Amino acid sequence: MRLRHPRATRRAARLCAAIAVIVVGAALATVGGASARTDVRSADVQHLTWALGAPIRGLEYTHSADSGTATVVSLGCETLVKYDRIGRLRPALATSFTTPNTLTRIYTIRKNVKFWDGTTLTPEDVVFSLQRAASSKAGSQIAAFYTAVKSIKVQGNRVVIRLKQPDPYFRYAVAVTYILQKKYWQANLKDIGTPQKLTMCTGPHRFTKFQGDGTTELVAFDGYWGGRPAVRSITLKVIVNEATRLLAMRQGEIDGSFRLSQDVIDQWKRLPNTSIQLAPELRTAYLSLDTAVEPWNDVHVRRAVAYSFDKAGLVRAVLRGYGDVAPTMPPPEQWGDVMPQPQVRAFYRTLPKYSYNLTKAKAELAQSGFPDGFKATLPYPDSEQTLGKAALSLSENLKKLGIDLTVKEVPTDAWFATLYNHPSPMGPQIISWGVDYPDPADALHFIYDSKAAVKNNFNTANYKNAQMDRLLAAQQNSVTNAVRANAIRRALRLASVDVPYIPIWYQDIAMGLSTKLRYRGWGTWYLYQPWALDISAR
Amino acid sequence: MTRRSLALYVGRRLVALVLLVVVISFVVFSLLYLAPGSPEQILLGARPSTPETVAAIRAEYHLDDPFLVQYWDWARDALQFDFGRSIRTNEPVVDGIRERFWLTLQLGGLAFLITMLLGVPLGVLAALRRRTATDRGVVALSVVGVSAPAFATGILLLYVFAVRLGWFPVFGEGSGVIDRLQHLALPAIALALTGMGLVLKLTRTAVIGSLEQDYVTFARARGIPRRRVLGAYALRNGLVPIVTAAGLLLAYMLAGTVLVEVTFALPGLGSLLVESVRTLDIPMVQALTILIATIVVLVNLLADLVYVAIDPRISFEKAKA
Repeated sequence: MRLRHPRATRRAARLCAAIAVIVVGAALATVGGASARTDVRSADVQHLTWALGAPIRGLEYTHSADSGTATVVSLGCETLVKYDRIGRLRPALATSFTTPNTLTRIYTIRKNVKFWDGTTLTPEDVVFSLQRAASSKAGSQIAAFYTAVKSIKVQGNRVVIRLKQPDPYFRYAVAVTYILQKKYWQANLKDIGTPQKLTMCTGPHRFTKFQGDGTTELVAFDGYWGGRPAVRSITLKVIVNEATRLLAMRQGEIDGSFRLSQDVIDQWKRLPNTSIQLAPELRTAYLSLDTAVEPWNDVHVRRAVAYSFDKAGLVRAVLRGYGDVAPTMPPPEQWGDVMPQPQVRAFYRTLPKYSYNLTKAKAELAQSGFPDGFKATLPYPDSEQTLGKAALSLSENLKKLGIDLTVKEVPTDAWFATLYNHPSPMGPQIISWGVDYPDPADALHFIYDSKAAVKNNFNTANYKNAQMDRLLAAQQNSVTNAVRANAIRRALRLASVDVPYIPIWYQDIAMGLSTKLRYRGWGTWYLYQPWALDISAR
Repeated sequence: MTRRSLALYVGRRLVALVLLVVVISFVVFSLLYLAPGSPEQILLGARPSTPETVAAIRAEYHLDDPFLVQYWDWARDALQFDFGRSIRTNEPVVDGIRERFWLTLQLGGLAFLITMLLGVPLGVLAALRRRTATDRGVVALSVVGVSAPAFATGILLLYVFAVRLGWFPVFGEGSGVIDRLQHLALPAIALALTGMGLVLKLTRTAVIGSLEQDYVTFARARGIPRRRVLGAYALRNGLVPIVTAAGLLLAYMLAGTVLVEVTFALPGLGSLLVESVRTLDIPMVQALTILIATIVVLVNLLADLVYVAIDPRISFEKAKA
């Protein structure tokens, strides 16, 4: 998120500083003292120590595609376009991007961008990196974002991407595809991104050491096209234990950390040397009801359960207030540029509410085929204790309707395996969904599309509705915001009436930062950009 | 004890080690194979993927081959000391382990030293002051140390010594000799507390038992200084159970450090093993379990050799493995 103004001012400031230094240096030289060219700015941060909450697998994103990796890789590697604070796309390594027709995207590559070894970025590097990301054969974990791509080619200083069919989400794929040096990648195809080989990118900080479960180090790259970084060196430390991270912050051994869990935010707020910033995580917790089996195939049963969820109470008790009740699946901030925020919020207010009301719940159940209740089991992953608490609360409420819901904690990887394997019956599931990109159809087309009710896909409710499929196709086949917004609104309304999924809450993320530092413009999408550029000394 | 019998003895034990390693590698491989989920699901996480990506990842790691073929592929390379690449991080397994081995050795070694240097003398003290307040106090303290879970004592130590008193850093491994010692002091103490109770009580029992023997009374009657009676007679005769416990402890401290590592943010072998098992990183888990098995066997062999050195009644001809 670099605006033109600060860069110009910085260039002017640098010129003045240089002149001043030369004058001072000359003066000192005449006095006979040593003239040291000082290159330290007042806003410089000599050393930034940051705590990560989980170990990282590797520095090459297509083989290690998760948010933790993105947070680290983004410090040194760049993408063609990047997200601004509210998820709109802005130039990064591409100075401009155009769509002459629905099947073509053209990116003009920035000139005079240097890799850390001094070589210049070329469109060939870009094409190679994009092709690696698109290749299932190469084992790219983000190949699914590129399924609509027909070809990626160089055209002068531009890269032209042609699609097989319209894909309104493809523009986001390039926001999470890092551009590496083709020569380095080809020379290290098997082990790029490992502690032995690291990586070769264009970003403001260069990796000098990488240990996924320990310490990772970066130094400032003064040849960065965006100017000299204020943060001169960075150390990332993995501290998995929340209590240890808190104590480390208290002692000043770290300068900050992302993603504090809701339980500890209040403790961090009490630290004297720390400030907290909050942002929507764009993560929705929801209950999935298997509409292919009894009793979940009865819409009255599903609505009865929806009325039995004390969502507001859960946000207060489980999220400690750091979140919001979710009337529908996509968090409002996920609409990006598809629809302006005020319209989104107005639309959400018109959706059926299902506020906690046991009388209405009983009335719905009475209309169903199971008026006396039934038995069911709801598993939750052990890595998401907040989901477990929500499940237990629901179970307590459902007792009053005569529904016996047994809540079971299962190991996370076994739970994932179940979701992937899509057994029959799937049964009810409680899931927390983090968005991939700022488009409201992101979650929709994974969980509501009847084609996704299969193995390795996420329509865990087995929801098969022809009208929903038509609406999803309509928004998919258009790139006009108004047309898409209309189709998505109708799809979300249909989902609220049918209730195959019960959205519970949206949650916030928190960042803790030393009061010695300033971090401008931190927002949801921090992890996909060189975030150290936004940090400076106070 | 002849040199030949020593060589035979050690040789037999090493052959047993090799057999043990083969059996362990097969059992662990089977367990990972049977575990729910598979490596590509964990690699992909909750991310949408195409069937082609899933197939490509499965092909890369030969996950569609029959079970025995997969095992033999791994074993054949392992016999040439090629343990392959980690599925999780892509780095060579041997490099991944080597980076963390030194730290784990230092942590375990330091914890072991603290356990022995505190546990044995305190055990002797408790034995000498049997049934007094000192005895009961020391034993009670050791019971608390054993019962408290390592992560709880870890956080407590951190809060008192690192935060309140500021004597030690909160986390990490440090670099350079003094810095490393400062960083490992608290984790080593946390780890040592769990083992100290065992050593203390064993020493106490052994010394009490020895002190009641006739030869000790006779030695005292002959006017031998107290310290020599204690050291050369009482303690030395009670050493065998202590050495046994020490051997088990050392092996545990080298292999069971994960809770302490997580609390103090130390990138050691313990957390590497847990993370590798969790993500079904078969090559890494295989190599780590073999390493741990080897360490356990070698430490026990060392303990057995020490028996022979300290107790002339034990000899290789009669000693069983």
